[in-house]
Amino acid sequence: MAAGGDSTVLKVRGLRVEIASAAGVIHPVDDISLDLRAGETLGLVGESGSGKSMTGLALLRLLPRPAARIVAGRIELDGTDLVPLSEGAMRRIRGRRIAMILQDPQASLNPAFTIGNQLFEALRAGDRSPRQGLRARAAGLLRLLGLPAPEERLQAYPHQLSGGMRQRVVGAIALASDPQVIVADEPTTALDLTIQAQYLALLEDIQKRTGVAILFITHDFGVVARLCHRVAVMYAGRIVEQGDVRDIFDRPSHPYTAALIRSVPSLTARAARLPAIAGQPPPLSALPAGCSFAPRCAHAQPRCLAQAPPELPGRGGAENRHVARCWRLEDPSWTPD
Amino acid sequence: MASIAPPLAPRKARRAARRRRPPIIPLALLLVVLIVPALAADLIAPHDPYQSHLRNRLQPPAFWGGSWEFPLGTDRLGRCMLSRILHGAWYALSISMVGIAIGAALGSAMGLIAGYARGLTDVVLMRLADISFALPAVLLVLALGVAWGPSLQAVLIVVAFVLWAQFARQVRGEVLSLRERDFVARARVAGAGHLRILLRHILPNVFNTIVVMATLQIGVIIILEATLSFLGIGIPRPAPTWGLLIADGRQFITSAWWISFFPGLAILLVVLSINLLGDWLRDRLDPRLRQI
Amino acid sequence: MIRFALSRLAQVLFTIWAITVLVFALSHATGSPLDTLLPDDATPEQIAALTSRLGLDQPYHIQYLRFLGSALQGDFGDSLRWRGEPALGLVLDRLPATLSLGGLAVLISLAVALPLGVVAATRKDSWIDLLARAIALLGQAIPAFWLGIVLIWVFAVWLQWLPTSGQGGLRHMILPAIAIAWFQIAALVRLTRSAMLDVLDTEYVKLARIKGLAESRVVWKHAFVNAASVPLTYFGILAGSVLTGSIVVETVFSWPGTGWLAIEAIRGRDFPVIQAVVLFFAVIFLAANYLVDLLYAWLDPRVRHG
Repeated sequence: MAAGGDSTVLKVRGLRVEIASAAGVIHPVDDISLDLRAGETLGLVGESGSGKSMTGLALLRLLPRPAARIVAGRIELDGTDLVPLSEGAMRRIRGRRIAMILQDPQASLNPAFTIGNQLFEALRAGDRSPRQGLRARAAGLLRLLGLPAPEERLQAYPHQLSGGMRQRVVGAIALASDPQVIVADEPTTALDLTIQAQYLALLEDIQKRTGVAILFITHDFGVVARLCHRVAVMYAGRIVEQGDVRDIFDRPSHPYTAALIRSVPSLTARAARLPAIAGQPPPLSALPAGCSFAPRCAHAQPRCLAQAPPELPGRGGAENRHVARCWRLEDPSWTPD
Repeated sequence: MASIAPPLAPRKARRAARRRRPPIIPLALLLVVLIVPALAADLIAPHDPYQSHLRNRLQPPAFWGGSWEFPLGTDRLGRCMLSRILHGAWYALSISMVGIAIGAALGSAMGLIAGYARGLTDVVLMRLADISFALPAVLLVLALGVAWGPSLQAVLIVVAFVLWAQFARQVRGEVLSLRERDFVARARVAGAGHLRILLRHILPNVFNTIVVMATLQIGVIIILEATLSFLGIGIPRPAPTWGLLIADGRQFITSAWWISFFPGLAILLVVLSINLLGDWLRDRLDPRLRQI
Repeated sequence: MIRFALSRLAQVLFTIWAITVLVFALSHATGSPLDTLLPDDATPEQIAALTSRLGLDQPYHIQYLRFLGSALQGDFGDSLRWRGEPALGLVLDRLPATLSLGGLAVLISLAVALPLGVVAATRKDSWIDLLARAIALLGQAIPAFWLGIVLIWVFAVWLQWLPTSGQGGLRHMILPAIAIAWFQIAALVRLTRSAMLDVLDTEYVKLARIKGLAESRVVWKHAFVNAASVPLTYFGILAGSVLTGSIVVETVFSWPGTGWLAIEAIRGRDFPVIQAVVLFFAVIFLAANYLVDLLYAWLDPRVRHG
């Protein structure tokens, strides 16, 4: 499963999630399309509330029930569409072929059971293998994740480990059954900076060894630059720009992306002078008729407010799969900088 | 956009609306079963609740083959059950109200003092609250029952004992945070004394909590009073308390079920209504009390 | 853990001591025991003799110490109603009947309330959740003694499936046990349901689903084990309300246990027996709570492995 050729393992087309609430029906994920290849890391970037975590949960069909549900689109994992699968069939895919790392390592391990107990469960969910060898494989996984003295850690309870160690355990649980895709939902947000850097290096290393594809959900462009091969930028439930990481940083083609990158201090020298984007994202229950970003956009034209833009080739070129939803791209000489 | 505004999710929206509306049915039930009879039993009861009609002993209710003269039947002395139940409402209402008032006042005062004074006073009072929390009220009921026999004082003491610790704990917790707030500091700088600060500045802010807790406890107290009267250690005879009426019907359960049944039904309806009302009041006034 | 156990034990002993003071104070606040012990026409010599034999001429603190001393040896004096029987002996004789009834009631409440609360939480707003909420509401509103009478009327008198009262086999225990259990079922269902709703919302339950575990395992292993601590804390209160319930319900069903004994003793103004019942119940209740506290602390790995 090495990279090269069309080794797309996860192909999302037109995914739409609906939440019916007292305030009305909203679409926190609206017409999302993504491609993820083996051995590749795709950064899904956006502010909180942009729908990126909801997208991650939708891919595993774990949306909060009964309020949220997938109403349109396909999620093809290695050619199989997950959307129409029964809950039982989906359960056999979860954990084995697609795994997830949650944001908060503090909260994602069960305080009542040992690390070993929780890891064995994940190992056994992968295949119906017998108990023997479980312990050795669990210890091996923890070693792969860089935990010292793994045999002893198996006996420990979550509260006895540090935050960084816990997140490594969560990583080991995700990798337990050798999945093709891991959805990592802000796995480093709760960690301090040094541990964060170690963890990212670890993920990269593991990806090289196993060829797993990672969908990395984050709000942090610094982390994206460090880790991802491709980037998708989300705003108000939609992907506004998608492309290779170099194209996104060097030739951002949507004003929102450009503004986000400018607001990351370490990436550009000009950052200090530029304010963060003015205004707030619109509430999903009252999206503007045209481009969702238009009310906050310095480049907006009358048409942007009236009509939603289609996906147009970005400045990195369609051949590099660089696309963005902005009317201004019809003018080849325009730049959002 | 307004013209194509998405429809509300109907069930959720309806439930949200129901939360805001006062619960009409429980209120109506309370009026009919408890409040109106308690205040005007003499006017609406068809008979004197104490008068025997010896020729009409153990008459069944009107819909069970009896006559409309005694709509809910009669007891072993031919006394009208409907009249006795209507008169019993007065005891249920007045004892629960007075009992709650005593328990809430005592407990809130302890909570105010403990939370405001802190230090040793707080430790001692809360230790006391722990002890009375740790004791089933039934022990006090037994001890008082044998010491005094059935009496109003014994009932009120038991009620106050059951209630005070809960009020004290809750009020203390709120006072602890309130006393650090700006308006208390301002009052102190302005030269207000401790009593004035407690009564004029802190008490009004915990008042909602006290009201909600009191409402949620009325049902508990009505059942407690009925239980004591049923056991013969509550309000002494011949007062037709609902508990006593049920006790009187017990030996006739094989032949005249209505004697015990209807007073209990009255308790059930009243307590259910008050609890629904209390839940609504809590959601309105003090959602933080959810846990209780 | 040991520190915790010892400090809680000190609190329990202090509470028991406080109860002995209360009981002693009540027995003296209500007139002299002589009134009940002697005939109305007793001579002054008889009164003086009994006064000094009972130590009533001593100061109160000496009397209290004597009371405490004999209570510690299990001597509460002889019953007044059942002449010549030691009070504690009467209580101990009746205890098995109460414990078996209370035990059955606890079993019934756990067996009904825990599954109902869990299922109600996993299927929020379904018909079974509505049923659970209705039971929780009704449980608080129905007095146990009236429920007992209604149960007798329906199942013993009308349907004639079960005996009306008295002691016998299991058949005699079913109705009273249900009458006692009813209130605890309501309270436990409510607690279990809300604790489960909280836990089902946590990240570790989400992670258990992400692992691809079967839903039953997610609910009963990952969620329930954590949610169970809430009903467990309630277990101490449960013990208290079973004691209360047994006094009331034993009277309704003429079940010859300690509760029935207590009510008979009150009617006979039998202070020694009541003293024994009160202190004995208090010790049982506090011991149950103490064990629950220890169990609770022990079940929490954060406490157990510090």
